[in-house]
Amino acid sequence: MNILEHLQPTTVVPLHLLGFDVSLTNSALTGLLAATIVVLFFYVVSRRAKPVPSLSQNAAEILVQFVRDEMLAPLGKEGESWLPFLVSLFSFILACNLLGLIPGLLPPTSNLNFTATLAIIVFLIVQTAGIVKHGVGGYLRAIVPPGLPWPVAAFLFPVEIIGQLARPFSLAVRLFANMFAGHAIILMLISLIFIFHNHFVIPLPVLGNVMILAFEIFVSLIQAFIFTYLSASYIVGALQTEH
Amino acid sequence: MKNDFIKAASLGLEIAVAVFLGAFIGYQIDLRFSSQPIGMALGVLIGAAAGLWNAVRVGLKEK
Amino acid sequence: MEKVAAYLAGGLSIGLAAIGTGLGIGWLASKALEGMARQPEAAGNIRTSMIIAIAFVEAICLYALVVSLILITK
Repeated sequence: MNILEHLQPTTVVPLHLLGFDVSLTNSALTGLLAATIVVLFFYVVSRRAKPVPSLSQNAAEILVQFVRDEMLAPLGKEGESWLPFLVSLFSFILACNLLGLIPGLLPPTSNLNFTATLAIIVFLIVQTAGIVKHGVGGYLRAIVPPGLPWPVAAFLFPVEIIGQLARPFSLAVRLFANMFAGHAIILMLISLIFIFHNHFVIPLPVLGNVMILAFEIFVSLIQAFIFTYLSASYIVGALQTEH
Repeated sequence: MKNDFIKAASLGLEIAVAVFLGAFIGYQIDLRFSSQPIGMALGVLIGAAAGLWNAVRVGLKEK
Repeated sequence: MEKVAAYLAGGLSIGLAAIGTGLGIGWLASKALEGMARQPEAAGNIRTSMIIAIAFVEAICLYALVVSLILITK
């Protein structure tokens, strides 16, 4: 189990604030770097917007159109004002995943706390959207299907609450498991060289590592897409009349 | 159709996460009220019901 | 001695569960493909029902995976 200790975040800058240990770990630094890159990219592109787009503006427009056409349009018309949130969520998760492939940087999404934070944000947004749209009483009434005798409805209430809570957490666990497993496979392939203590076994793990890196780029894209798609599906599902 | 594939393919993990979330909540209730096996067993049953209810609702909603 | 038993149990748990899951999903997919080949108009319905049934089988394998992970880290 000592190979996987490279996957634990290590403190880079110790920092204490009001008695809490908020020291910067290397996964937090990668997350901050990803956030800075995303914010700078979109800010610079949107300031010099020309009618005939340049290269980076074209890339940003392709990203926004991809999110809009793949995720919001098939789900109905109510979700169109949620496009900025979904684009920023998609770009941030994509940047976090891809920056973790650089050797020496730890992907922040390979930590369950980080993905659980993103899932809690999505959960709060889904519930708030439902409450704002339908009102608190209407939202509580829409949890259980109408027309049931009251013992069944009273039993179905905690069942439905746990079901609603489990959906964002399945997002967190899916993203965490994919990123953790990918990074662990890369670490274990490289550690094969150190286990054998031989110079002649170097080509095989390096070749496997190249193939796994190509696969990890693909997996990062797909996981960011699935996270954003399911978040959009939950938001639009909460905005429509339930049941 | 591709969208329904994504939503349906994520159901397996949603069922499992619902069961474990119910077990975790049952375990926490066990720690507070010290009713040793009952809380976690009830939590697992409620979690399994929640996961299966969610899966059936997504599965039977379309087509 | 207990660690050896824990590792062995962890490996056996996920191994046996994977046998059951592989067989289950394989049978399921083969019957679904046979049905789709007999009547191509119902291919959309059959495909969606197959994916939902695969989700149930996969959930059971995930329980065994979590039990195996708990046993390995003990």
